[in-house]
Amino acid sequence: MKGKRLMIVDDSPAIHVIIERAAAANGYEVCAHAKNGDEAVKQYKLTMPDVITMDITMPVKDGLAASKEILAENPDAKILMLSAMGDEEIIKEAKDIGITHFLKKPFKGEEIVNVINNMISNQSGG
Amino acid sequence: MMSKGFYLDDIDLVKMFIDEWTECLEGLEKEILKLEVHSDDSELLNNIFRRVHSIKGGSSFVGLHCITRLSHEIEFTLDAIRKNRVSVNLELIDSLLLAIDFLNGYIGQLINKLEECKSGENGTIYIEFDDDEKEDSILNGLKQALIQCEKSDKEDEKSVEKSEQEAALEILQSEEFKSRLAEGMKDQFLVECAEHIEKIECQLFSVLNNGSDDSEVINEIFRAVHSIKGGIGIYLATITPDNPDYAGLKELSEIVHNFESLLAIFRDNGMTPEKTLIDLCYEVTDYIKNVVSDDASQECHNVNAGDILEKVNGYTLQLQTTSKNSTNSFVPSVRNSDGKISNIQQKSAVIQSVRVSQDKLDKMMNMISELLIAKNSFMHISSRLNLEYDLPEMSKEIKKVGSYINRISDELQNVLMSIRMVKVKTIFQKMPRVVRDISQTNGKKIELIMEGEDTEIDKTIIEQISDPLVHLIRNAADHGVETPEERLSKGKPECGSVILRAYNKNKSVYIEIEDDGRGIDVENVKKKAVEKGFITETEAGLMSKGQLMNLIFLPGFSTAKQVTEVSGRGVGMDIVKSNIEKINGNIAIESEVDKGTKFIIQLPLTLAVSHGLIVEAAGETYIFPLEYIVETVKIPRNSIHRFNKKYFTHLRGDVIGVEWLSKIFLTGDCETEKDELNAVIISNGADKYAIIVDKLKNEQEFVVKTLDGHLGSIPGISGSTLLGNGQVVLIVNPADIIQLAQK
Repeated sequence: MKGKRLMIVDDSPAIHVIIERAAAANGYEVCAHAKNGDEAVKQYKLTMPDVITMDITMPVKDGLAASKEILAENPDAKILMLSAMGDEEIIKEAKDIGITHFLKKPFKGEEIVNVINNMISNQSGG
Repeated sequence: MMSKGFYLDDIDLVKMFIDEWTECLEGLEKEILKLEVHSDDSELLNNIFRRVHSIKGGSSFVGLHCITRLSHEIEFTLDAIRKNRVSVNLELIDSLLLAIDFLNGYIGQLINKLEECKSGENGTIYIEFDDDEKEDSILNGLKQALIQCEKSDKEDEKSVEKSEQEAALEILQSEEFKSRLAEGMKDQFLVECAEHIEKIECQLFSVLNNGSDDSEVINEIFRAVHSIKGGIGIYLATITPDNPDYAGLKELSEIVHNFESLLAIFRDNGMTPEKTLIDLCYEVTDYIKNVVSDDASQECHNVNAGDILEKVNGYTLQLQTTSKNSTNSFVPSVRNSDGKISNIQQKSAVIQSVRVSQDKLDKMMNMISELLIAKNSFMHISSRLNLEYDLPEMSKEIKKVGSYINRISDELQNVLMSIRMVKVKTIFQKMPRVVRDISQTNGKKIELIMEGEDTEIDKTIIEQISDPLVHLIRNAADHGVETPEERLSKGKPECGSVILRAYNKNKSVYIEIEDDGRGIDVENVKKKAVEKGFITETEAGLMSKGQLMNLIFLPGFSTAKQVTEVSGRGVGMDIVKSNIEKINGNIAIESEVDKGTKFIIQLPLTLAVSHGLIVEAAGETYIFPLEYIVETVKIPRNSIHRFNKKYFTHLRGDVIGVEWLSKIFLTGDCETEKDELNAVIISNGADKYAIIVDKLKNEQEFVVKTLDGHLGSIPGISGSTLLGNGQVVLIVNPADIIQLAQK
């Protein structure tokens, strides 16, 4: 997965570190960091990453609203939504707007890399 | 049951999370209090929800299940409020606050434990929390409160409270885990009660002292009383009526409840606290204390509960009849107390402030320090232009710009320093409790007098000085002040006094701890030191009183005849001293037998920037921190005398030791031709020493850069710094130097 670009959206800097460590070790380039939905939308337009990891609960604008805007911009955007225990209703809504990939917190570094690998190989396959 | 401990393997990550969590928890309590009135404010709810949610998410990553579980339950409760499934009532808010407090406690423990295991920076550490059962009881309290809220929806306010309490009792009485719960709740309750009482007393104290009519005082007392009530409620709900505590607590609960109503009248009508109220306040807190402490020692309590209840009710009635606003009901009216919220808003409008993380301030301080170094190079260039390039005009111009920048950076530094300043009050506040505890356990009568609480000092210093101060205060109260009988027999007043005093003098902050107790017996110290082998008899004979007194700072030294629970484990004073020296402070003792002891702590205003004197010795440049320098003098060669391989001289009537800096650092021989020698007289609080250097240069600001690794432990050197010309110079540690010179 050399050279694929990743944007991390999360309000917790520590999660950024966890994801970035795992992704960088597997050849991904983290091209953008956003700490809320608003920044995510802006950064997306600027950097056009291949994959986005999206937290749900964030200040200013939550992950669901940000995903909606990003999908409106680019319906093919690959968004991996990171949910926590208790986010079941939001996951339902997210599926309605067309998000297909979810990962439940807490995850291990290799887990998230696996999911991202899958998302990307699906794209190149289809 | 859940597992009791956790292995954390990525300390850095955990630290990051902890920083996040502390930020999330900050001010959460206040926000939750706002919920009491604004439970329909979705923005407020979302904000609280998000914070708790992010703690939950983070803790799950590092495997801290207890934090995940607790925050999940809090989040669940908040979600119920958000989705309008429950109506918010006092009990619910109380249990939420309890849970948040507990979460705070966990994170506090975590921080402490992480600090303890600094050694294996990136290894795995094992963390164990000891509050499992308490967590269970808190979670249960939260769940119960939630259930009650769902049930009692849309019921009449007055009956809500009653039915809630009864229902809660019924449900909980049938539970099996009750006794286990009760134990956990009891400890929690006792600790909290003591805290709240302290808060009330502190407020009362401020009213008495300043006669302040601030409405915030009533609010604070109200809040504390309210919390006590909540605590009693929860504890009551976990015990059965045949528990020995039950009857007393039931009474107490009624008194506190009525007292709260009384306070509500004051608060809602914006009345100023008057003498009757304050007297009553004291009576009630005394009563609570009585019940609570009796409680702790498992005794029965039959204090005049009826009397107090009567007084509270009588006063309430009197107020109600005289109060113009007769619509005020007897029920505590937190739910409709819009006045409280608007009060807070008004207050915050007056003092506009921004909350900034200390990290940012530290970073800024660091940068300003760099600026100070960079600025010094202007002066350097200016003199080079003049001397080496022969451009005096240019040199003057650069000098002008330099001094302009100098002025700005000075101001910048001052402003930033003032931002970082905190009143010593924040740590002084802990002390009355410390002294009270000791006087109660030892049966001593001690009055703590605090002066200069408004003196300001850098925040990092405040944090570092807290433990040493507590230790010194304990020592003063425990070892210093004698028992009443002993005092009377010595002709002293029965009640001993401990004075805690802070003041500014010469760019330093001084904190003094003074007691009028038995004082330090120098002979005792000498005997002990010889006994323990710190010094030999002959050495002891040669030492001055001040030097002997300073022996108590040696590791492993303790003159207390008896090791007590509170102080005197023989590890104290050396740690106190080293902690104070770590922040460039200094500690000195003055003591006289049977008159008392005074510890004087001298602290720098700030840690980041210091002033120092640049000197040269054997071709090397060094900086002496100004705090340690008494004076600089020229000593004629012929007045330096040599005895037993030691040098000394007369200075203003004193005999002081003389040593060459170059000899101490073994960097070369001293210059011998000169007739007059430059000396820096340094002092560590007890001894003075004249340190001979080749040249005394200028005074300069410097920024301490600590030396790492094996360079860090060179005796006599505390760090390095950069001069304006980029030269690295070593910072001398005068306290070490004196020790080295004496050897």
